[in-house]
Parts: sequence; structure tokens; C-alpha cells
Amino acid sequence: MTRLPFIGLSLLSIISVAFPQPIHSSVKQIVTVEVRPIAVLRVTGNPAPLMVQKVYAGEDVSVSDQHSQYSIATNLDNVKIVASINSSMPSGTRLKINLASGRASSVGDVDISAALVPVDVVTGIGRGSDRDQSIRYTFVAGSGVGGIDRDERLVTLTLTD
Amino acid sequence: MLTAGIVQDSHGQVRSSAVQQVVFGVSISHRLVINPLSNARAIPLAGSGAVEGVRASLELQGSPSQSTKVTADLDRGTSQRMTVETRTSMQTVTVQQLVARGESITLSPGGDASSARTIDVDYDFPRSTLGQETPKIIYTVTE
Repeated sequence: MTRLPFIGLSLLSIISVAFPQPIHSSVKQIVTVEVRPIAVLRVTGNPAPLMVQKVYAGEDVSVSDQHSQYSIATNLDNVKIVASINSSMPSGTRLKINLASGRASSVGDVDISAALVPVDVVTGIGRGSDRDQSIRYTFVAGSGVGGIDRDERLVTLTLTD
Repeated sequence: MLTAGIVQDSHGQVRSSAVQQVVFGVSISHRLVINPLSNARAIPLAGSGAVEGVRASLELQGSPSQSTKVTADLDRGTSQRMTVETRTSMQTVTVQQLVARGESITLSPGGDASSARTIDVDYDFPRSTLGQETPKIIYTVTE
């Protein structure tokens, strides 16, 4: 009778060596996720110089450029693009901008000659991206306008909610 | 110039802006338009038959410091109306007729040339200066 416990202990020892018990070690981490509002607008360069070189009595003369493009990406709904100019255009002249849009509503030709406060040019933009859409600038000189030396304006396009 | 970014202002608005530089200008220019003879007086020339019109209208550009000049070939006309459109406020228009044997006449525009941007010029081909060959006319616009 006294040998049975001894045999039992010995057997347990053999099992323990052959099959070690697992050691548990756990850590917990808190992962915080957040999707922030995103609005990205990029343009490709500047338009070519808009030089009026003709005159017609009683008629406006215009010149346009459509070489630059814009791309947007946003995860917001119902955002828009607005445009403003850093200084008003000379008397008798006008500067218009037209942004094409594949996913929203382009306002069309927008006169920004005196748009010191931003004006809408594309509205109703939803989530997603819209790449390589054209930007057309049109410079108009009235028939009564004399010569204007080469000048420049800065036009700011803003994608905003 | 390329700028792009994500800006959230104090009101929580999300904005991304890009700036473009727009260069513009208006060149000083002149334009001469030679209208058909229909609105001018016709003075028939001896032995020349019907009066013919100008073959082509002309357009030219000039800078403020330069006079602009163009030559038009005319059929045997007798009278012509010329319209000068210009972005300059002061200019002199000289119409010079050259004939085959080298004679020339110079005519000045009528009306108030100092303030008008459009000047109509009527002139005649004097019979005495017309040769047998097609006359040429030189228009010169100067400031």
C-alpha cells in the first residue's frame, strides 16, 4: 500500500517534465480610432499670361486660359469651392473663373473682378475625390480701356464646408 | 505655386486652399478697317469703267512708341472710308496715296482725332495723280 503514492508522485514528475504547464502572460492596449474631417484641394500651376492684344471699336475683347487643373478629396458632404481675389481688377476689365466639376455643380463663369470676399464656384460636393478638373480664366478688356502694363492678381481657391 | 493643407479653424470649419497667380495686360494696339466703297462717293475715272472695291480688309497691331504702317492694294477706286480703332487717346492718321509714277498725296483725318477712338476718314483719289497702274495706299497711325 505504501508504494502506490510513491509511484503516483513519480508518474506526475515524469508527466510534468515531458509536458510542461503553459505560462499565461497578457497585456491590454486601448486603440483609439477617429476619422477626422478631411478636405484637400490642389491645383496644378498657374494659368498662362492673359494678354489682350487687339481692339474692336465698341466691343469687349477677351482672352482665356485653360491650362491649369484642380483636384479635391474630402470625406465630408455638401462642401464647396469658393474663389477670391487679393485686389480688384483695373477699371474696365474683368476676370472670370470657371471650374469644371465631374461630381458636383459648377456655377459656370464667375466674375471675380472684385471678389475680395469669396464667392461660390463649385457647390454640392460630396464624399470622395474629383481629380484633374479644368480651371478656365477669362480676362476681358472693354473697348474704352487703354494700355495696361503687365500686372498680376492672386486668386485663392478654397474647399470649405 | 502649389499649396495644400487641412485647416480646421476655431469654428470647426475644414478648409483647404490653393493660390494661383494670374498675369494679365492690355497691349496698345491699332486696327484699321477699310470698308467697302459702297458708302463712299464714287467719282468715275475716264476710261476705267466701274468703280471697284478694296480687295481685303486690314488689321494691324502697334506699340505706343511705334507707328504702324500697312499697304493695301486697291483696284481703281475713287473714294474710300477708313475706320481707325485704337486704344490710344491721341493719334495722327496719315493716308498716303502712291501712284505708279511716284506722285503722292497726304490726307489728314477729319473730326476730333484727339478724343475719338474711332475715326472715319473720307478721301478721294484725285484724277491728276492716278496713273495706269494699280495705286497703293499707305496708312500710318502714330501717337
